[in-house]
Amino acid sequence: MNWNFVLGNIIVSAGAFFLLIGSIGLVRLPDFYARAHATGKSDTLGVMLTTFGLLVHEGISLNSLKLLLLLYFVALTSPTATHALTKAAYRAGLKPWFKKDPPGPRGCPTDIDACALDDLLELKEDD
Amino acid sequence: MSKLSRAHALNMAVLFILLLAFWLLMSGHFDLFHVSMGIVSSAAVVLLNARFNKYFFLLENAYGYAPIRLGRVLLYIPWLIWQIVLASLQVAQVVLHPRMPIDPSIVKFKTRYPNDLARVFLANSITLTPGTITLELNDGEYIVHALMDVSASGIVEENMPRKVAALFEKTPGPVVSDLRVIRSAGEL
Repeated sequence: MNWNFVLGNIIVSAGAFFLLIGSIGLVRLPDFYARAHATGKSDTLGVMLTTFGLLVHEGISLNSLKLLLLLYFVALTSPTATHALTKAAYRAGLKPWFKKDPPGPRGCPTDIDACALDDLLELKEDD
Repeated sequence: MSKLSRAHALNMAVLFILLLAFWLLMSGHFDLFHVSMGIVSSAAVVLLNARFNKYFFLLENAYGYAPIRLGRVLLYIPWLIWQIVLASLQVAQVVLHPRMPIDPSIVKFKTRYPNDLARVFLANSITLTPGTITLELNDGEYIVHALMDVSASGIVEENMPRKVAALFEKTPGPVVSDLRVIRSAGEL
């Protein structure tokens, strides 16, 4: 077995782990801003690690140069997109959730859709 | 078209070389036919965009900023990547924790940077590290959303702003002022 095969697989697995964290965070975190952390960040690292792992897997070739370019573009565009989304939300007047805020019904934070998710889960349990 | 200035011609040459390199990288064929196709299309793009290339922002002092210190940038990028990995692990730990101990806050502060490039550097570095997002950047005044106290510590202790200032100045003074941490919707 080749060393770059092993190393590449380890790095791709690490990338998959961070992608999974991003998805779990998207479901669990309470409001828009907090969710932007999960999707915009963990996912960035996940995609970058996955691409880097493929690069190690591939070795030095024209394809790995293309992957390197991909890595650069992801690093450049992903934080910009996250910033654009959250900035638009902030300017539109969406208030972030704080720990001190009074909780809504059934211990859910106020005016956010985390409770909608709880309702959905309860509906499924009823079936 | 009026007479070409020297900088303008240089910009066009740089753009042509970049486009041709990109073409060769993407095509992977190095025979006469494909390379000549690349030369023709790169030249066509450069000529069509000739009027956009009057200013080349990295070489020319179009905004009047201090030149960036490339040696420092080479040191800064690995440091930033290490910060991203550390912060990602922190966020992963919080997200997987059964009780999810997050404590979101909004950090507002002002900076004294000499130019726009430094401001954008800091804003993008903040957004790149997990746990903090730049919400707003107005004339050196930042509004940052932080997921946990640990995430915001890099800004509150001025660690990251100073590193960015060091990219442009040899002995940067204090950078951050008027720092405010908001923890409830009433204070907004």
